[in-house]
Amino acid sequence: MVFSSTTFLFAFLPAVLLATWLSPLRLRRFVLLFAGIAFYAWGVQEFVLLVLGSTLLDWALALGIKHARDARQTGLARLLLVAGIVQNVGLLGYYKYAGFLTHQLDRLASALGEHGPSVLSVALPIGISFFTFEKISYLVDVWRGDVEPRRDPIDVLLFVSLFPRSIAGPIVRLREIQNDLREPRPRPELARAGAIRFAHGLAKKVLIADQVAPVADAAFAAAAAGGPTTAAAWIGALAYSMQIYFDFSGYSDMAIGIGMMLGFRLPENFNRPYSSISITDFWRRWHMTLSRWFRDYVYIPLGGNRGGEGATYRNLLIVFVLTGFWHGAAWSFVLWGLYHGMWMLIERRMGWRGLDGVRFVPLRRAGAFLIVLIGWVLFRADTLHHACDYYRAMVEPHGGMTAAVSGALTHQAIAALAIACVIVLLPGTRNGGRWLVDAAGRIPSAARFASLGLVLPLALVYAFSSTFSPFLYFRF
Amino acid sequence: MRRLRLLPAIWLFALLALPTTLWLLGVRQPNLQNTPKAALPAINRGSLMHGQTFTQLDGALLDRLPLRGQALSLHGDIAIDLFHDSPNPQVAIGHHGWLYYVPETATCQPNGTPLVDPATAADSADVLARTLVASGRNTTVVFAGSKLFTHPSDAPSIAPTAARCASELNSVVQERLRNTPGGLDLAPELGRLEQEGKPVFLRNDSHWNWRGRQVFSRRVLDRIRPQMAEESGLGPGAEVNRDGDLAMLMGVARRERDPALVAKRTPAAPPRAGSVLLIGDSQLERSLLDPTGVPGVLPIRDVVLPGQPSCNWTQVVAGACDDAIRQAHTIVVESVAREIIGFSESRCWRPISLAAEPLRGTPGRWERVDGGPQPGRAALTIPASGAVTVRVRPANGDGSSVPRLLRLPIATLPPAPAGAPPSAVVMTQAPQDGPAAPCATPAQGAVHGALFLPVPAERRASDLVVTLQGPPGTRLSPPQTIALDGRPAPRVGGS
Repeated sequence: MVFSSTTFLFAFLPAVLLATWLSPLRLRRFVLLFAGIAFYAWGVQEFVLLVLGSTLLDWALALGIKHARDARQTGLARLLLVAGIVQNVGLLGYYKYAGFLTHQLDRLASALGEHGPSVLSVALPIGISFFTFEKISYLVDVWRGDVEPRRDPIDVLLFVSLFPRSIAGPIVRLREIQNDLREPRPRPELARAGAIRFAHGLAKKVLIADQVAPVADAAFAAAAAGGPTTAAAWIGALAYSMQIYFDFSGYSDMAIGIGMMLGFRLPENFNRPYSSISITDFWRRWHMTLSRWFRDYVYIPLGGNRGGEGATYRNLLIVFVLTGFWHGAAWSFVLWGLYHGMWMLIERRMGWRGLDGVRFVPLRRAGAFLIVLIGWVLFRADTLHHACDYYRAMVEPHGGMTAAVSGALTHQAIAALAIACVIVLLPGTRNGGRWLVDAAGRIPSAARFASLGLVLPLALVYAFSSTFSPFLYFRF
Repeated sequence: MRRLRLLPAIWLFALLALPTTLWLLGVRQPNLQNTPKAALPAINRGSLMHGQTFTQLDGALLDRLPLRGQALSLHGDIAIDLFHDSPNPQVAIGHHGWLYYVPETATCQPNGTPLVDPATAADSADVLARTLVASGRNTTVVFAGSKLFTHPSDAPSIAPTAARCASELNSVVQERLRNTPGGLDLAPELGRLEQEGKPVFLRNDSHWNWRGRQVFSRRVLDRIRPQMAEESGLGPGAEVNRDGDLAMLMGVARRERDPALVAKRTPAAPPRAGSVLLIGDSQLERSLLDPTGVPGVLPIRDVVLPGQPSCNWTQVVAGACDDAIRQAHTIVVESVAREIIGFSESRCWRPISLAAEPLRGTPGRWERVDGGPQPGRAALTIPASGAVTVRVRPANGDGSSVPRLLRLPIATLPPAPAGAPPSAVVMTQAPQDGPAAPCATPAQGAVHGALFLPVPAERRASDLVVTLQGPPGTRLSPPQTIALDGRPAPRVGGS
């Protein structure tokens, strides 16, 4: 189920909010567990039992790790941890990467004139990348002693299935919400903040991301069909940069907002990433919970920056290749990760990553944004070949405007793109969603009033009417 | 204070819960889209394991929740009035609020390449009209030109290269129909009215207004019998409100006043019931068949042509109109311009095959091109492989200045084994020099039936190599050539 779908907005969410608010405290987490399972089952029915089974295994392994640690059986604890990681990575590997890997093996075998393995076609269960990482973090945190394992399996099941963030993050650690898991208490102040935050996120998704999406789609489709003009390629890349930010951060805002209304404080995931003055800065602001996960569970265990310059570079590259691969099973994602990793190395080498005493901030922001925008082409293109075509269109001067892009640039799309650019270019360092909730004064109050009184109803109107597509004459 | 703090959450909840609450209170959403509402799926343990159940639930919920109509209307109003944009990419907003249907350019690619060979498109209309004439029928074949090309003065710039190409394609077909026996071209008359500042299309609709409908109806009735339009007193009646279909596509209601086109009386000695068949798309339907909207005033067909059948193209393609086609002495065929590809590929073959059933032609001979033994003037037998590739050598020469119809008669057809689908001979084309002939019969399952392969004018019959697949032992009599020269052709058993 998608947050902006009619079913979610007008049936599922109000039903769950009402049930949560009205249910007694001792039953509330069961209501949420049922809601989480129903939410997930709406997308991938047969996979629910597998997720629940895997989660119960994690629960048992965590208890085993704790028990082994208390008994000073470090080897056994490590073995159980490895078993837990293997089962989670195995799940992710099979469902997300088996098709890609068998396809590569098949191509390699064909190149060598041999018969390769049959290419697996496995349906990707929605959200698997997110909850797998959360489950791994739980096991590692228990092993490290950072969190006590939960004796009640419902706690762990609710942690994994908590629907506001189960399919697209933020990536939460159990220790961050462990008290709320036990006793979810949607306090008035939290519910107020959650409603404002949700409205903010829905508006970002529906009124901006969805409006500029056709521009990006048209440009990338044109590249796949033979090549857009130079202007169309740049406009398409800009539109996609705005689409992905407003879509993903809007989704995160909605998740955080719903979490608050249900009594959970989820971690922030974005902090004005296009205000970054470097790529290092960008990754501190973009998909922050993923960056934090890779830092704590990959980069630091690999040695971080403690092994000298060479080792640091190696660790960074490993992390960014994995970051790219995490986003999708395709070479374009790997290259996208590598691209960002290379920029991180260059910044580290040139001393550009520091934030203190930075000069020419607007120029640095523009530079960082340009680098990110160019990277998004790799991310968005269907294949590496299409990405190359797109880059060629961006650099080889070709006048005019591609008809499809021109058609997609409606006045509404232009307005949405312009508003998106203004928001991105605005000075300031504070996350807009948090500002809207927390800031005091006349302007924030007016913004809150506008957000709830005007923008929210408008966003709901757009969401409610987005799937309208009658046939002119269905019998033709 | 606590309540005040809860206000945002209560407000959000109220907005989210409002549609479902209204539904629970009995408020029902009328059907907004011109398709039936999605059915609610069966909910049981088995169905809950299928994604289709949830997709169907989403669709059913969307179709049923109240306030969606208001949301669509508000969204449409914002898009149109505030941004001057269409909320539906299929509809473009032109000058002075005129609406246009974007798929009218869909006969061409964005780069201006037509998706069908213009000559082939024209041939398909030409061959259909000529075959109906050859069968002795009073014939009218007409393509209703699109709003985009007929009323271009208010048109927006929709994919200009594709639009130009689609317009040219349309012109080629119209021009051919102007010069084809049984063809009718309305473009000059409609164009003249437009030039006089009298639009023939509705502003918010993809169809003709009363003027366009009058031109069409008058010309069609007069083709059925001269002076019939005059005799029936055809003319504009009272004004009615028309909800524009293009506006509805955008989710908004836009009405305009348009006089109903009415017939005042049934002409003396109307055609015998069942002798006139009207086949068409929505322009024919709007002009002749639909209710007039004026209380007590019947549709033109019911007044002028009482008891005469009509078929839409879905019925024709499905074979539901075969008997009506066979029995009719007068056939009116209308198609909208954007369907020219579908007309060529799937619509025209069936009326041609049915109308040509009783016709006979000059016998020619088979020539196998797959290396098998030449049957010469004898019957052609499908060998054990189940397929034979042949061309036809007409007796009167390979080429002709008029279109022809090759009749490939099935003499014997071995029955299918019990439980298997009925036997049939399937024809596929492998032209040697040029595009495949339009409107060829794809398959024939009747003994003593025939497959028909049109040969456009100036095209050599020998180019049209075909592969015939069927049960081994199937025999086809020598092929016949029927000239489509605008005169009735000889009939089987006749002179």
